[in-house]
Amino acid sequence: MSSEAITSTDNAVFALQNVRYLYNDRQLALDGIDLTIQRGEQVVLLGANGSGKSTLLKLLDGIYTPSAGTMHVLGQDIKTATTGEEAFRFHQEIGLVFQDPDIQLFSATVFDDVAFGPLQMGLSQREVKERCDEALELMEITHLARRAPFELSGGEKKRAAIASVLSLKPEVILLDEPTAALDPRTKWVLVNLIRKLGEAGKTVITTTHELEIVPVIARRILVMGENRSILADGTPNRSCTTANY
Amino acid sequence: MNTTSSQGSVKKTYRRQFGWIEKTIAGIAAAIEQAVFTEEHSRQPGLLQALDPRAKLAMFLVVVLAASLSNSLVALPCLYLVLLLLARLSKVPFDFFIRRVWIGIPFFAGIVILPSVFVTSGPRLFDIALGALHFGPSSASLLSGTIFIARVGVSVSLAVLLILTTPWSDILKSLRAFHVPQIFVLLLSMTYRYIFLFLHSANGMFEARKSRTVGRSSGQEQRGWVSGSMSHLMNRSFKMSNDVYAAMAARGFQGEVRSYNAYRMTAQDWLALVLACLLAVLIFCIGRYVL
Ligand SMILES: Nc1ncnc2c1ncn2[C@@H]1O[C@H](COP(=O)(O)OP(=O)(O)OP(=O)(O)O)[C@@H](O)[C@H]1O
Ligand SMILES: [Mg+2]
Repeated sequence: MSSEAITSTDNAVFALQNVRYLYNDRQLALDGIDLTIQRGEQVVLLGANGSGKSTLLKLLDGIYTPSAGTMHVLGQDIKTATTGEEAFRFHQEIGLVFQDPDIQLFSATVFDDVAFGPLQMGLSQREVKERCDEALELMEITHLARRAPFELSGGEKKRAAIASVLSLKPEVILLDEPTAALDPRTKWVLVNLIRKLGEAGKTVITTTHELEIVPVIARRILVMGENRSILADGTPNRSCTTANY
Repeated sequence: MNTTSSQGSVKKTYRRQFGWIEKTIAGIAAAIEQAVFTEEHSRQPGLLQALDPRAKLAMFLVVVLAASLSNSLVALPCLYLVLLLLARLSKVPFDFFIRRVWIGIPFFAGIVILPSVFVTSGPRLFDIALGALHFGPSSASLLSGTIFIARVGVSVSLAVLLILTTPWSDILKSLRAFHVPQIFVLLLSMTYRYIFLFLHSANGMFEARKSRTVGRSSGQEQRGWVSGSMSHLMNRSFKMSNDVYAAMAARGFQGEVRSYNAYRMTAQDWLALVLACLLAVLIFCIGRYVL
């Protein structure tokens, strides 16, 4: 069973079969998830509040492990992929922007936070500086580099959180409601950035409640249903019209 | 907006919308968050801020050692004057610096030292009789008590000065340079984050409650709310610190605190370190040969 799964999902970034996840062994958050995502896909994840979008992303990022079912990441079982030496490669390849930026920003300054990931990778000081400057510039927050994260506005925090993941230069980027709390101009700057990341061949999975940005950043749309599994899976125009959530 | 005006009994107590318990806790939480976590003083362009954190830590250790070995009532006040001067040059506000140190801490030090000041044998300055027991300070015990308080005050001032003028992450980093074990530094940094999250959620809760409170709440209600919310707050910040740990792990954190090191020891840093050593020797000599 498992060897067959590996061969059939060799080129897939994520392959999930019948995955279920419970919080604290009690609260069911995901059930019966079957999902395969290929390298370079640009996916948008839609669904009502509490349908399990954030939980799914944390699962994909290896923060949680499935309570039941099988899950392969980059051709490896999730358990082996997130232990020891492999964990290092795993976190270098996959980056998650949390829904709540307060969780993600834990350093004394924005710069320290953006530098955190590259430093863990063991890059030289010069490379770290370069990556940070680039990420800060992309999110247009160079002027906030020396400020403390918690004294920023909601949208500034969100941008800092995104920069702190971009500095890792991951191949797979998971974005949990990246455009929430952003003003219209910044929102479209970010949407364009997400589109460019996709065009550059990165795998991007985004959750959002804003339907107008979906056609720009999605080649594929997944809709999570009330029953905590995937209700619809298709191309932009079809799922958008059929899914009513 | 003001729905309470129609109800007389509510209006009467409206002025005490927030009682002192809430005000005090909210005030403390906000003040600590502001003072410690914005690191506002450490980002001022001052004398001590310009020094390499490793040099500062070494200077701190040398001078604290000298101060705690000194028992001279000339050297310690002189050292304190030097500290005040340094605080001034580092743009740390005087009243903040002096009050922070001298209000709480010597009080606790006083409690520790009181028995040894009053329980003496031999000639006493005055005598308190409690039944068969006699208490009273002798001139020698009074002197040693004063010296003890002075030492504690000076050492705490030194620590406060170091912390105020150095970003926390730099202090941790320099601890690594002094070969403090990794696990100890990690523990310190997690504790710091935990306290930060605790205060942060405390502030959030006070604000949330304030925005939803219409009219007044009685003292008893308030006490109930405060004790109830404290346990909730512990749970909440514990969950948050777990999440933060997950967020760190998700970016490759494996227990090693690495940080961006833009500092380099310059001639200026070495000079400051040499001056601190000379100061320490001077304090030692004053204690030994002068007074
Ligand atoms: N830490 C937790 N402990 C227990 N249950 C949780 C926890 N986090 C989420 N849940 C539950 O899991 C379910 C899915 O939550 P999730 O955060 O994944 O939803 P979501 O689709 O991201 O919603 P939203 O659009 O509001 O962000 C919800 O029913 C929620 O109550
Ligand atoms: Mg969510």
